[in-house]
Amino acid sequence: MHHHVATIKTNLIIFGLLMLLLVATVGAAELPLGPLNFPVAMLIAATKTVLIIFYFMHLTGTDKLTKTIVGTMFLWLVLMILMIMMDYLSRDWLQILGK
Amino acid sequence: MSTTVLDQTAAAGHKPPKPHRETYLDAWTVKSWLLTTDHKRIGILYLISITVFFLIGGVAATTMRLELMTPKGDLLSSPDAYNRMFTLHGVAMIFFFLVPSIPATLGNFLLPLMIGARDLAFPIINLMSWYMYMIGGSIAIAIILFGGIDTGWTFYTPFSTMFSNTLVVPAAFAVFFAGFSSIFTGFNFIVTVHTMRAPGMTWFRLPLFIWAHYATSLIMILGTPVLAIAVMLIAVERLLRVGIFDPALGGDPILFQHLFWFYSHPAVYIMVLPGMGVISEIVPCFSRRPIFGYRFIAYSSIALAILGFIVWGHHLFVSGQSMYAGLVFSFLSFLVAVPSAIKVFNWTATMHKGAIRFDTPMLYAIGFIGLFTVGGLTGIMLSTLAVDVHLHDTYFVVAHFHYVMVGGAVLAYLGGLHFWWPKITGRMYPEMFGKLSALAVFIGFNFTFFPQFILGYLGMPRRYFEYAPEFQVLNVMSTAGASVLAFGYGLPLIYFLWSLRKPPSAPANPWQATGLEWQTESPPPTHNFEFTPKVEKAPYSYSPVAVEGFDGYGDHGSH
Amino acid sequence: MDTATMGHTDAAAGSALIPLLSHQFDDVEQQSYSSILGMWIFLATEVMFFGGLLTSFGIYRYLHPHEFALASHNLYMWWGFVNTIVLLTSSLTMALAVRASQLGRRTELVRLLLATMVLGTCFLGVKAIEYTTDYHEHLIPGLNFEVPEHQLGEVVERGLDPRMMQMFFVLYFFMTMLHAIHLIIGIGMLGVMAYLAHINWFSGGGAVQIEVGGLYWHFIDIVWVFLFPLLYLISGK
Repeated sequence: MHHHVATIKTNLIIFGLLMLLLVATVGAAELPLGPLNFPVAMLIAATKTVLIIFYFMHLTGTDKLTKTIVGTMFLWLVLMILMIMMDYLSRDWLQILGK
Repeated sequence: MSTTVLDQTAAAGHKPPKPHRETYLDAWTVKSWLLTTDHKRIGILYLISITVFFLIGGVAATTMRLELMTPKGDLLSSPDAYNRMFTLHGVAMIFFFLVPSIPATLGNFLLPLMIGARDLAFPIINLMSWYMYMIGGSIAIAIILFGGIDTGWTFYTPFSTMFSNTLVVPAAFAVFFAGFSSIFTGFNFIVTVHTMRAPGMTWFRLPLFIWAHYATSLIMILGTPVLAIAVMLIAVERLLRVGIFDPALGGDPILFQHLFWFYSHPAVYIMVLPGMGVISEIVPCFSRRPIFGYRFIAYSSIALAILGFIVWGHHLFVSGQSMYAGLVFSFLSFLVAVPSAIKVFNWTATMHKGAIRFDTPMLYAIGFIGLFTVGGLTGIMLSTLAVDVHLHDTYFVVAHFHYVMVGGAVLAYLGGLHFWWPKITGRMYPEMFGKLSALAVFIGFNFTFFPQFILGYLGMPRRYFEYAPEFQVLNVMSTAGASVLAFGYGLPLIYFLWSLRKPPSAPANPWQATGLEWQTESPPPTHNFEFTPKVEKAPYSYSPVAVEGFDGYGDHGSH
Repeated sequence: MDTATMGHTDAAAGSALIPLLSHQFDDVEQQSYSSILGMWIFLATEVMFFGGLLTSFGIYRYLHPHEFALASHNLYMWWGFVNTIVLLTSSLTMALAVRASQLGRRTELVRLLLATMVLGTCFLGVKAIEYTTDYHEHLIPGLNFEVPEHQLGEVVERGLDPRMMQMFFVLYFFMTMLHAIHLIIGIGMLGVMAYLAHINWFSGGGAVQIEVGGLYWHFIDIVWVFLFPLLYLISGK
């Protein structure tokens, strides 16, 4: 509770960066990146998220426990997505219907 | 065996009346119960409500066992009625009994007491959790009254979304609300354990019951929302007739199974981990020895919570999941055996050379260790890819998960209820009847479910209401066992209620146990402790000598 | 009756900025730490809640990339763009509101909370415009979905599955509506907080309560940060 009060300047800088990243994500979607389009978009979204979480949500000023919780929740999301994708990515390898 | 416990209660009656001591049970108006924010009272509200669902699920189970006495379908009017019956059994027992059983009753009651806190961190949210449960439960009861649901507790698509003519959408909402009640419980527990431990109560002085509940809470908050969204998708698909999981509309039904089991496999650990916590309290107390390998048991609870999340694919071995994903899931499932075995070995090592007393809680605990081991080992068999092709969807699976859920979770729940009954109500239960019930449950359970291993291995599929005549002998055995089991369940229900007829007279610490919850009165005062306790010792500092002072039992300790 | 995170009596309101302590806590520090920690853990639940949907979306998009790209082109990217600006700005005003509450500037706090609510409502307004357009263009599954005429040729030519274009819209509506529901709850919550701040109800100045509310608001923003590229920016290039 007694953490450092963020200055208006910090808040505005973060907001500016978020706007830049927003423009970047729209711009990147127009580039012919092929299969890289999706990872780039997600990378930009993740960067925005980091900025929001660390500065707007004040994760910088909190203790290790809160940081661990935040880390865990995203780790779990990624874990779920990857493990379900594992099934879909390897579905056709055997060339046997239903395996 | 003597009836010293009863004698003691009677003896207490002759003493001059003590000046009235304030307890959490003092207020008895309806409002004082329905608007309570006391974790102990909410635990009791939960205790009453889950007992109702246990009885509902039990009636459904009885009907099924009676139906299966004969190979022909003759008791129930149709296969559909049988489908509704096993669905009712599954939904009531899993979502409304087993998941909240230990955490929401014993956990709610004991967690603040064990860490030396006055209440949970968010008492109002704790009450809301119970109301969520009641909303879900009321919907579930309405479903039963208005025709039931026949999809099985797993709601597999596309049957649940396209073909079933029963009340799937209300059932989805019932599960959704029950899910949020357990999220609220879990998140309350986590915050409480982190922020509200008494001075000196370091992480490695926490009772293992707390470690187990912490691990359970992690699963509740990270797994349950995925179930919630999965059942919501089913509701949307049914209501709007759009294909999310329906292959005819381009969807993939296996995706539903992934989302469903991402919660429902870890949910098995929601059911059994708190049970392991209970056993970790009972075994050292009745062996009069410090628990063997404290840190290993603590860490293995966390390991089970984590591993439990990455093995769900073993439910999909024959569903059309990729064979390579199956390989990975099979291997990961084997890993679950490690933390489970650590616990079993450590409990037995705790008992080794202990001054063991076979009181009711200990009988239940020993039953748990044996039955959970059988359930766990058959789980290893089922997670073997090739074996599962043969055993999938047979009675072998039914027997396996009943060994874990009934032989494990329910025995631990009953053991814990006996162990803490004096603390919760201030009354002792009749020891002789307690032992009888523990024995009846153990024998009845094995007679009910062991034949089902054989039936499954011989190829009898689950969820059928007729079967080939050669399976009849084993099925009759199973039904006969179920009646003994029902007797064993019925006894505590009667004598627990019976024990309430007299005023509280149980000593603060009838078992000479070491936990903080035993340092306050029985039943505890509203604010749990007269003074905030200070913890200066490691938990489970038992020594065989202390057995001499065992309250209320005279001098007939068996060692 | 105890109150977990907020408390108020007339006496306390006078003796400024010392929050009432609920009976279960030892001190104010523990109480505020628990509240903030509790919100973070609740957000973990929310992440998994949206996570189930994101996973479903990701898998269907992986299985049917062309249909999803084609269906996505029916959305108006610039509306989504404007909405992202609106929501990110609301996060800024929310962050400044938290700051105002920490500095004990009550009038500024109320104004910033109101600004945040207005921006949230603008977002919902834009969403309503989009939904109306979708309705007129027959893009609502279960109600009137049909593949737009100008895309029919491409669908036939490339052998695409129109059912999967509908699937895109099923998930689009489910995700954006779930997001909108969260936003509505958030606006309501901020409304209550603004009112309570206005009448000086918070015994401790409200810094903790506003911080907790802010965490929820920023989370809603983060969800949209992912939804925008996922739904609107599926490039066919």
